[in-house]
Amino acid sequence: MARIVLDGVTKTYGGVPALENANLVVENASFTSVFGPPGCGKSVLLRLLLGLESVDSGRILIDDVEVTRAQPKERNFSMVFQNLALFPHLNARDNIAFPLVRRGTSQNVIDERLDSVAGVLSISHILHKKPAALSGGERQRVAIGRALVRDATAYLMDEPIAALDARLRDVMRVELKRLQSEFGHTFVYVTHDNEEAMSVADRMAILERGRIRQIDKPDTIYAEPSTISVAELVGSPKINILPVKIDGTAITAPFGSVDLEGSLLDKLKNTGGVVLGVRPEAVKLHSGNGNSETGAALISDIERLGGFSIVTMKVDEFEIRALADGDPTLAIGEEVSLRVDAADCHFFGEADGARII
Amino acid sequence: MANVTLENVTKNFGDFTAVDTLNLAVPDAEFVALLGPSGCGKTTTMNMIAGIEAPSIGSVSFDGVDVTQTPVQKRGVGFVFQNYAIFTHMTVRKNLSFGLEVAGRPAKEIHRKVEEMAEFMALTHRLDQPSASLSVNELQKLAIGRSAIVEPKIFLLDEPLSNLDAAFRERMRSDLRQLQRDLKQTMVYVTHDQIEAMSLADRVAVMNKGQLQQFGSPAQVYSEPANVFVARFIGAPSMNIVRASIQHGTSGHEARLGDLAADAIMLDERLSGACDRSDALDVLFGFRPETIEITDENGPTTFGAEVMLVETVGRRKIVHFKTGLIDFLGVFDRSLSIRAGEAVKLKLDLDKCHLFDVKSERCLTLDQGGVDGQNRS
Repeated sequence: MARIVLDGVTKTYGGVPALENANLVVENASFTSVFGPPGCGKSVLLRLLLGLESVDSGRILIDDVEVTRAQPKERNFSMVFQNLALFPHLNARDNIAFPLVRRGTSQNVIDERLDSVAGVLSISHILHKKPAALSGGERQRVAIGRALVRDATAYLMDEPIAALDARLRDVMRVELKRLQSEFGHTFVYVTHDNEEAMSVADRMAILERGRIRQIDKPDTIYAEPSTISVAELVGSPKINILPVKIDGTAITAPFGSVDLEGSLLDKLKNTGGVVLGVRPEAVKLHSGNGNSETGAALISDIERLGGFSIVTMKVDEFEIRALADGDPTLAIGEEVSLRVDAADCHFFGEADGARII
Repeated sequence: MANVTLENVTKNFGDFTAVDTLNLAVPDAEFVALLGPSGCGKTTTMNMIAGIEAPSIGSVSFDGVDVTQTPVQKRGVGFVFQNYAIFTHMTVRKNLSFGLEVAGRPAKEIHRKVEEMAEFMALTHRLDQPSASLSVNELQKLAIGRSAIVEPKIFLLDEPLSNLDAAFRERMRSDLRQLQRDLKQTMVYVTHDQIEAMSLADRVAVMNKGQLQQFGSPAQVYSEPANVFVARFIGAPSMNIVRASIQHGTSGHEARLGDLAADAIMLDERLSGACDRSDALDVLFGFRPETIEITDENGPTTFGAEVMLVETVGRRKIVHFKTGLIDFLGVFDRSLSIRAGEAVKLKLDLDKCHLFDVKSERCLTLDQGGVDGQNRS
């Protein structure tokens, strides 16, 4: 149980910053995900937290006590790795009990803890089996059980379900969330999968090129991304980033005009160069040709994915992606008209990429 | 360009049967995905098409010519692997021209084709740089370009996108679709990712435990799954498949989802007919999370459920429901306001529901004649 603070943490390798001035507060009993593309610095952040590497500058605190120079053991984090690292010669029970046995915990306590963890993870019936006899999902549960069985400051997870197949990942995601709330533990969860990061956590930190770009509730990050790059990282298919022209009271985007209320319009006008972000699900498609203010929207690609389809249009030199339900009766080359509600428009500064509206 | 036929192909590794009596016809210039979980036999199947592995039983032919005994280098196949295998000490240009040079093509043609491929792959600005300087994403592009440029008879791709990050995978899916439209090559694409298979392929061969489960267009495997395995493997989140008991009511058949569900679903002609044909009292009832509607009105296909958990994942809300002892999922727009603990009324779209046999797990609502796709060309 603990509140963890990273205060201006920087780590450089051979002059190249892997993490720059990172500020992050992980509240006690919260579920925080750290999300970013490969190479963004998430594993570095985890290693610094664990104490496997030392920071160049900045501080790390656990419950207001500075642990920046403390040994990993003193920080007492419990960790689940992607490659589960179970002992092949031990059965599931002994694998889970291992951290307790090593600490000389009494047999009574071990049994009690083990029963509780195994119950929550629904693995009581496989405790006698060795890892080789377990399925991927069962092995994953055992590895999580081993991490959860002991008291720790917080439980750190590095892509813990990335190696599982899609359906099992869906199940495990929900299970982890349930575990965290049942035990009231502090979880820090690192992943490169934006949907996983959004669904599992109650707070999400976006890491990109060594910098934390935004920390908030996943829902808020999706609805109000702080920069263009955050908007592009969170959500799939990727958000459309488009140019806009502001002329008097009219805002014109490649798909047509945007009706923005006066005060917001003034805000945009005072900002200089502006670009527009529109998520594909906000682009409404209609058959028939578009409006006269813009060039024709011609369908250039349709990706039919079963439950939904991704439709790509070309308007002049711009590409716009839209989502359509099911298997729409649209064809490549067809001309369509597009509409986007003003409420679904995100505006960013052209120069710095920062959110304006 | 060539069509590929696998006839009664079985591959054993010792006691293990990796591929079991596989019959598959890949038509000329089509993009076929071999889709399944790890260990399903998809890579072994590809290796047998390539000539890397020989079948234990059965034959492989290209354009009607038996190539079962033909070595890999004489089959005229092109490869792209997950770990791209680029010559990193050579420039991008050299990597692209390599295959054409080995084939002894005239310098002028090589130059033109390299320029065209580089342009198509958006690598023109990189042409004279060492390959080692390329990003992971560019490397994979180059790997695909290098294989495509020699225009092999058959183009084999083994999970080529699985090392790429999500945003770039989207981009590459679109590039690959364009590439296939332009090149009109026969492509066989191995993947465990149903989205990739749906997105890219003209036809999808769904495999499990060495056996072909279904061979059909992406729309078919999604909306007319041959069995429970295919139904669950295609689509995310998976199709809900729950036990249901069938009762012969006064005005037609009724299905009760789970034993404790209070509300019965009135079945339409299609579903009732499937029940009659199978004579079963219990069936597996399948409905996709994205086809459930929340409603206020009572109707023949409405039933009550409790909201257990709501996950907001970007543009979607994934809602976990319970009715009786049955758990299932619904997918809705993120704008839906719904909370755990709420009691709601749900409506099924029977046109999009499926019944499966409890024992064989085969789809009862599907005309089984076309399952293997052989007679559907």
